[in-house]
Amino acid sequence: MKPYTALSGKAVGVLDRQRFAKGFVAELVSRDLVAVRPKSPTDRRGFASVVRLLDKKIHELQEHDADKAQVRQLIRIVNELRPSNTGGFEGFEAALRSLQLTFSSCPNPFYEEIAFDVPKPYARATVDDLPEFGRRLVDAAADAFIQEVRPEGR
Amino acid sequence: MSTDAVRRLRATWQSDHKLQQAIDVAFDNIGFDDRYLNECTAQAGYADRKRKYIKDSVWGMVELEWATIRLLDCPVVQRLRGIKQLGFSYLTYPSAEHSRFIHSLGMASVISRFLSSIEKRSGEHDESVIDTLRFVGSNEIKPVLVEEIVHAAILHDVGHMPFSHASEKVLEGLEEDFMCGTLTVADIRDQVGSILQKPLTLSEILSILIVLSTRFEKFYGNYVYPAGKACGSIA
Repeated sequence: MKPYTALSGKAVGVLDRQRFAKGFVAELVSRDLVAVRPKSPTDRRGFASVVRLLDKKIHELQEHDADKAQVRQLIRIVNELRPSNTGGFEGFEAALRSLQLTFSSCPNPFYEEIAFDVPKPYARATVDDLPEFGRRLVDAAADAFIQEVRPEGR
Repeated sequence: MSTDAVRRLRATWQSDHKLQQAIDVAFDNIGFDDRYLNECTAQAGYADRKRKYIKDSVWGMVELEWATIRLLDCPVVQRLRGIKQLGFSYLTYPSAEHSRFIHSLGMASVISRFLSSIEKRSGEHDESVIDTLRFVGSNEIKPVLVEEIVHAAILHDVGHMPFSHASEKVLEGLEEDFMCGTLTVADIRDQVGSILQKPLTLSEILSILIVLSTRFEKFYGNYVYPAGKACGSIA
């Protein structure tokens, strides 16, 4: 039987959309970014840069014949986060809103802002709960997002 | 989903002979075999080209042109008469008994209405929004023809398995154990996910697999819509 993690209750090594979203939010919180606005052009550029980063990562892994399960997990995550045919990041937004009660508040879709009401120690513990490659990924994803939304380090 | 991506997927699948053989075996089991195809091809030139009307309980009279009727009559679509749209819901809600077939027919009706609305407004200007905004006609939606969009509506659910999403969840949950030709369900999902870059469900993937199969392409191109170019444009 596979070992399971304490926080998520999921098998160690498994990275799905929910764990990625949690790790991503935790990394944003640790960088003092405590809310996003999925409809704002700036944040949409941020989401786009995260999707680009994940695509690049998949490409790298495929080129180096990496573990098939790892590539599979990433393909599924990125496809759910991609913009829809209308250009909106509904998948990304849904991933963040689905963390309500633990990570995000304002799940009402009419609220423009999704706030991340997470204490930093809990955010840190959440990132530590991820597999090694997941930790590196959410860290890079948060960097890519921040670079778009706060290019001057504001 | 770009045409190029679909083209790549088609090339990948059609070059996998074992996969095509597995699809052909499944087709044979529902009567969509070579004999059926040959009979259809023989009739292609002189078949009746009249329109038909089918009464639908939701959408009223649904008008269908001859190519759509040919498509509706094929075993791949007729199979949907036996697939429950709402899985096991009929056990709790006795009126939730309708099939994927009638759902697909309704879909064709809705799409036809959409297209005729688009057609009616084509050429109109809406200056209240943006000066340059102009409604385009369906003939400007390239590279697909109007009839092909209706056919896509008819075909959109042909990959559904018994009890629709209920059985789909089982296969997705045991994706390493179920095979499609030489590929596991997991492999085929990855292949589609990485080429089409969409989070598609298994039934959507199987629908694409059926439509892009060599046998179905032959049937569509030779019998249903020889004048069309849906499969041809993908090729």
